[in-house]
Amino acid sequence: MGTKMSLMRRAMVALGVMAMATAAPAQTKRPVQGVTDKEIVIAAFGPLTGPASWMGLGTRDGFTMALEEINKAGGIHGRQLKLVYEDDAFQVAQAQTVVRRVLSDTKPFMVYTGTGSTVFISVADTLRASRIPVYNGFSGSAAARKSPEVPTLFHGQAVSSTAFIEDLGKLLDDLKIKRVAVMHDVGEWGRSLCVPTIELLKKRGIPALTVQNYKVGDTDFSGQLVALRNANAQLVVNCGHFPEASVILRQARELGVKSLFVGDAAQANPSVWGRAGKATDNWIFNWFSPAFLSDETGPMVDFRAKYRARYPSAPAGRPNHADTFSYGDAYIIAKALRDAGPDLSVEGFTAAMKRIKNFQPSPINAVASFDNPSNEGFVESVWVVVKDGRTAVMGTSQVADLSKIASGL
Amino acid sequence: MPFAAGRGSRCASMEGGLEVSTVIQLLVNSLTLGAIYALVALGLVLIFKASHLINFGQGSWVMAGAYIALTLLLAGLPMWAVLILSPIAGGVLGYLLDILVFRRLSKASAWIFVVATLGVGGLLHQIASAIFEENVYAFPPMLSTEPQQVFGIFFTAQNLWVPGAALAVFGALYLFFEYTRVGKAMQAVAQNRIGAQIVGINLQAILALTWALSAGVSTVAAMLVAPQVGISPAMGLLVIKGFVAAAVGGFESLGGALVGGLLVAVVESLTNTFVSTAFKDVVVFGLLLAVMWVRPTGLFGHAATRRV
Repeated sequence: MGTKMSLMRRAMVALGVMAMATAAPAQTKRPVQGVTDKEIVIAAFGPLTGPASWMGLGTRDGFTMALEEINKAGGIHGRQLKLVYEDDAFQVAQAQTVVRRVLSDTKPFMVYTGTGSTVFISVADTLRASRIPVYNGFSGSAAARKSPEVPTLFHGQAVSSTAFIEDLGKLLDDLKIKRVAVMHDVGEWGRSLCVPTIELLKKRGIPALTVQNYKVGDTDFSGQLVALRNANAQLVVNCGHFPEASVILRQARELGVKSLFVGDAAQANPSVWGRAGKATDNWIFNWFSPAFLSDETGPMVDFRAKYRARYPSAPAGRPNHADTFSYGDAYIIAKALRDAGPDLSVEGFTAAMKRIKNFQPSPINAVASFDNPSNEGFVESVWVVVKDGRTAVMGTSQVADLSKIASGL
Repeated sequence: MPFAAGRGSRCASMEGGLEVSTVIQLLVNSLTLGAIYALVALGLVLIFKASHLINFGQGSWVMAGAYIALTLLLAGLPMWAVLILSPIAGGVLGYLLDILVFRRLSKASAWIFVVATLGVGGLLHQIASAIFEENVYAFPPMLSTEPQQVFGIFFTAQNLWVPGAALAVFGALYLFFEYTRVGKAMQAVAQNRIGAQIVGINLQAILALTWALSAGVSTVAAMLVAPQVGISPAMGLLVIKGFVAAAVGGFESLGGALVGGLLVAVVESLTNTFVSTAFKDVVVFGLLLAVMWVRPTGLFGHAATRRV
């Protein structure tokens, strides 16, 4: 009897051990928000309507295209990537509602933001506090970034305004510019470039001759441009976005403003010279990918063909830089998801993001490295010059030509 | 030099004070914008004169006209054909919308009508957004944009074409109303609907024609502004300034729409330049309220007489 009891006891203990052994993996494999065996949910938002819709439409379409390619190739460890994109209309209040809804209802694994700085900074702290991974794809304002950044927030291809100012200093030296005027939109992006530009000019002892501003969506800049003409600057630094830039450049030439114009990367779009034509000759803008949107050879040709096949009704001016940035961003995120392994977790993903170094997401995108305290993937840029609707990275000959023009102004 | 890069805190104020050449330059530039505002206002005035109601969806009619022109252009039609066919197609759209929607509301209250105009406007906007999304499409200028300089004032052929075309539209409408039977019938309907019907004027046909004219004029406005700002659903926002122009000029006056449009553009431009970018719309709407206060019927409107 005693032996029987002992056997029973042993059997019970063995069963208990077996049960615990089988239960143990189940405990470690706790569910991760937005992740199932079949899919990983990525929520995203940006302006799909209103004057800034080019950002949201671009980031949505570029990201979607990359996701479709990744999914077609088998996804990430057998899981398909699913994008849920919401419209923030470039309105702070709507963005806050969208973010609340995304966090409470969509419950994604991570959030990708395709919106501009004005809106992003209004929701950045909410996103930081959410502790889910966030990839800022389109806000370049220094105010949107922290150093050290929280471990879950990463900044993508919109090069920070800090990098722009460094490049601007070099440009002023190269072109030997002494008289500068500044123009900017009153949104966060324009301001984030304008303020340090003015400080830079002051430090160099060449304070801005005049500072003009405008609103996103404005279509008449006559007043500002007449003031610029009267200021007789050699160079006008215009900080804003490409829809306004195309009108500004055209109206500037129509009003006899002869100054050279410099724009930031948010203005880098072929539709600027598509709409402003010859008025964009000698226009200088900031860029940082190995390929430019209007390249007639190289990887951008293939990308445009692929894009046209996917979006046959896309208008002139698309793909824009929002499309190409987000396309690359999707591949960066996919790499980190893959590197994080099949047992995906927030910690695993963020650690994988931090390990990304010298990674080129696609042939049209620049090389990314996130191994820095501010989690910024892209920090280097170049100046590009437009001539006869064609672009060229600024080299010795362009510097010589533009210096000559500037000295004659 | 004072500067603060605050949100709209410091704008396009002109350093160095007021110069005559600067003011003249701004006035010349205002002609272009003012002409567009005037045409948008004209579309509103035509409907108001015929029905004594306001089309709150007029902005979407402008936008729809732009997309009609864009579609014809993308279909490969030459620009001259686009210029002729687009207002006609816009007019047909206006005519159809009257038959399908507004005619059915002829006995409804003004509020129902207002809601219907908003509904139609929203529908047009959503259709455009669904087909074209909110992308900005380029639309080529009709004439050269090479700058010319006369006495220190810069202008382009395109800058002159816009007010020229707008004046031609106003002139043609004046001749139409003054010298054609249909035009006179429309005036009769505007003045006394019952009386017009008694003398045998087909009220429904005249109202349908008015909607067609309004939509056609809106299409012209769209084609004139499109080279400047591109084509997108957001261009319907032009109606806000058009509405101010119509109210300032007087909702019942074609000439008032023209003067109102120019006045709004001049005030906007001068405020933008000499006061502040942030305040330009404040001053424009201030102008609207000031006119409403001093002369509620607008500068060229007539006070309604009421028989007691």
